[in-house]
Amino acid sequence: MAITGKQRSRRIDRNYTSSEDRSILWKRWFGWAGLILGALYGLWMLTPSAAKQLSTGTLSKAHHAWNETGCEQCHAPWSPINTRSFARSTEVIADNNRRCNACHRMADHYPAATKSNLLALESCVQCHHEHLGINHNLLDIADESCVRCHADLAQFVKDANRPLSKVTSFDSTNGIPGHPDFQGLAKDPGTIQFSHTQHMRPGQALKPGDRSAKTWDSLPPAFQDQYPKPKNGFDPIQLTCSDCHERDHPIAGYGTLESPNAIPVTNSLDRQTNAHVLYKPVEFSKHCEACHQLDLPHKLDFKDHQHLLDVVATSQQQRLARSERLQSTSKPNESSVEEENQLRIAGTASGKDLIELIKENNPLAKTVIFKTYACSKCHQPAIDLAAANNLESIVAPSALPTQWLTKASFSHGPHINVQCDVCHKIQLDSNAFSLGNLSSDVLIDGIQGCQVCHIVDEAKRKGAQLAGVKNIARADCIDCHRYHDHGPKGTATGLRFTGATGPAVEGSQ
Amino acid sequence: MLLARKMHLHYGPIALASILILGGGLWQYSLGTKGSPATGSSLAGLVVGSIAAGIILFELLLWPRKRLRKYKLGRTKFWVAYHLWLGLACGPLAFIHSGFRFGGTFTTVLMALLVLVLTSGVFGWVMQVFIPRWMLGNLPQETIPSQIDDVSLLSALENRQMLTVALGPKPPNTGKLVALEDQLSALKSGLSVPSMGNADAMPGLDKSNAIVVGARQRRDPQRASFGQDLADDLNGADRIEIWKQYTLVIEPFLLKNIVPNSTRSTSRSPIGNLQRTQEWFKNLQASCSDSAFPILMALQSTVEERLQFDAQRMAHAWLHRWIAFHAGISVMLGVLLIVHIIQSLRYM
Repeated sequence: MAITGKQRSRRIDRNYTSSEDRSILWKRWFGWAGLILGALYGLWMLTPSAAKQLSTGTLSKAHHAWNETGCEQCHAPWSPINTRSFARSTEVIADNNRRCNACHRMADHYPAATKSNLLALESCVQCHHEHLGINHNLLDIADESCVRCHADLAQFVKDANRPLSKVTSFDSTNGIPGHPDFQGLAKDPGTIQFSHTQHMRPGQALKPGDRSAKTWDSLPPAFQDQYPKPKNGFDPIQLTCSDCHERDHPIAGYGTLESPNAIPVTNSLDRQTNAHVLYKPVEFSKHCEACHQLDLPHKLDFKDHQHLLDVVATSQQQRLARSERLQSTSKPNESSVEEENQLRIAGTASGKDLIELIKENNPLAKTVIFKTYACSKCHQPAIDLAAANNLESIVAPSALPTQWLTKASFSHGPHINVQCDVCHKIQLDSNAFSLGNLSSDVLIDGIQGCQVCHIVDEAKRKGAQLAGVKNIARADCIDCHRYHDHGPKGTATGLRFTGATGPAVEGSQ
Repeated sequence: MLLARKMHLHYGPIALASILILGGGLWQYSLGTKGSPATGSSLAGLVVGSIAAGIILFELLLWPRKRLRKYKLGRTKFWVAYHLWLGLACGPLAFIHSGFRFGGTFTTVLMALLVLVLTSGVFGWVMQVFIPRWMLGNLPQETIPSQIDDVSLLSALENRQMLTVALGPKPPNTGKLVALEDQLSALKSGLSVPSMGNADAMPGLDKSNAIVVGARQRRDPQRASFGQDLADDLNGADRIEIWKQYTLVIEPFLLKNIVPNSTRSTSRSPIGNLQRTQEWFKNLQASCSDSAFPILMALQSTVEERLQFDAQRMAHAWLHRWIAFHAGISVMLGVLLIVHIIQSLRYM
């Protein structure tokens, strides 16, 4: 029943091409619709109210006020802010940094030591990444930000001959050495002669069985409340670390319980905090005087000549009486008591001379006081004894650093669940007579002690955890170091702004 | 190659697309850190993004090129080959440009639009390859899609004429034929409208503008015999039955979607598909005498032609409707791309 092509063609309107196919109409309608919708959306995109549409992510809490329409608070138009953007120049970077500096007046990183042309290429966003969500911590800086330069610091510093460590990681990986030893622990800058070993022995005895060991009963009543009473009052006193080392602030989270009226202070990271970071300096009157009582007042004024003579004369008489009493009760075979007696007798003998020296206003009087009044037991003499105006100033400053790690900012707070002796090793062998752990010993193993718990590689962390290591932690650069810091005891890194628009002053290192 | 008959035409664009993707990807990754590619604002990102934008512009040029076809701006098959392969490359290039990040809402919308454009394009590509092949094998009665209604209307008129000649005027009590005045007046002049044996049955038909086709009657050996002889052989019951079935079943099906109120849905019609049609006509032949066979065969042929028209209409929709969607979102993508370039340069 097929019909021919000619027949078929005759059934077709010869002008059919002039009639528009529905598909063509649809195409036209959709084309116009796309054009109109695109134009409307595009025009709206060019308005400030649509700025949020361009945002690649929610801003962090610190900048969240600008999350909707505040792009130009940080973005300088036509100045690429992305660190990997094409066409970034020092002018563009400076333009962007100015936006940050409008609120954040931060110092450059070691400007005196770093090549200025390279420092000018550093931008804030190099390390602080935004648009990563409201809970993103802008201070959570990736190690790469530091390693970028510290892997080979020689090309960034002005003094190329300066010995520099190449740091790529906290721990050594694949034969590449990790973080160098802590410079702050290399030498004890303090002037105090002190044995932690002796003081951590029961009764602070020089040797086992020493009868001169301190007992709770032997303490002056005014100091007895500071120390827990042993089962028997005549048992030796056992000191603990916290008897002398007091926290600077309560442990984070327990502030209101421990100290409800605690006043926020600035810690070594230049931040206001209530949290425990370091330990307070040891004070003689609080931590030493219970056992080490002085015959002369600590604040004795040398200018008041007559008063000085009276006090010294009185102390001489007291010493003499005490020495005689000790002689009558001591056993001859106890060498320590003998030494003590000899010392006191010698003090008495020189004391007669001392009064004469004081009367003559002889400068040697201060030297004699330093040597005979137990100052020399712990202290070193002041460099200029003649200039000393009171008893305190005849000794050299103790110079004990509150923050030992001078290039970093260590905080004890996060380590509070670790026993002190995990990091601070003390040889407590009771049979050893040697004092051990002299003042020059810092009681820190060094970086190896930190690397037991602080591990960079995640796989190694898991391995250590399986091996039974407790308190496994990350080891990010930012845990201890700061790029911008001006703390007097911390990592001062250069210029510190003194005011909103004021000049900068050189920070200490 | 399944999707292209003359594959050698595609070698050039395939090679170009591959080079762009590979080169752009390696470059972008080389500027990244720790295995993460650089972002769109890096030098590599900008270059790759510019290439992708250029490709999108080139893809959009297909439309004006069609309008300006009289200027012979290159051969169509080359345009299509480059449109296909460079268009496909555009997706990976855009992802490389962005460093495989979606960015903000706006760039995510852009990326989604691009994915939709690519998906609809690939869908259309597959349709354009397979449907014409299927139509060639399965729709021998294929006609121009826009003329399907007119051709179906003419078929109905031809059938009326044929039945009037072969069976005589429509007896009473065999249903009522649909009035076609409006449809006939809408037919364009110059169209081959068959003359009617019974002019009264075709009110509104202007015979002066019509071309008498009658080809079926004259050329078809079977239909050529239609006439008084056949009418004499058919008994009255056959005439009544055929007219009745034509009026109630066949013509409403032929005129569906053409004449209001005569539409009979394909699913409910006893001749809604080929299988049901053959079965239905077989039963109709069984109820009629052998003399009616040529007429029934002619009617069955017309119904099968209409069924093919329906299939063709469906195939035509699959073949062309996607272009509207593809073109619409492509234009939208092109417009938003300009905004993206401006805003990215401003805030990158």
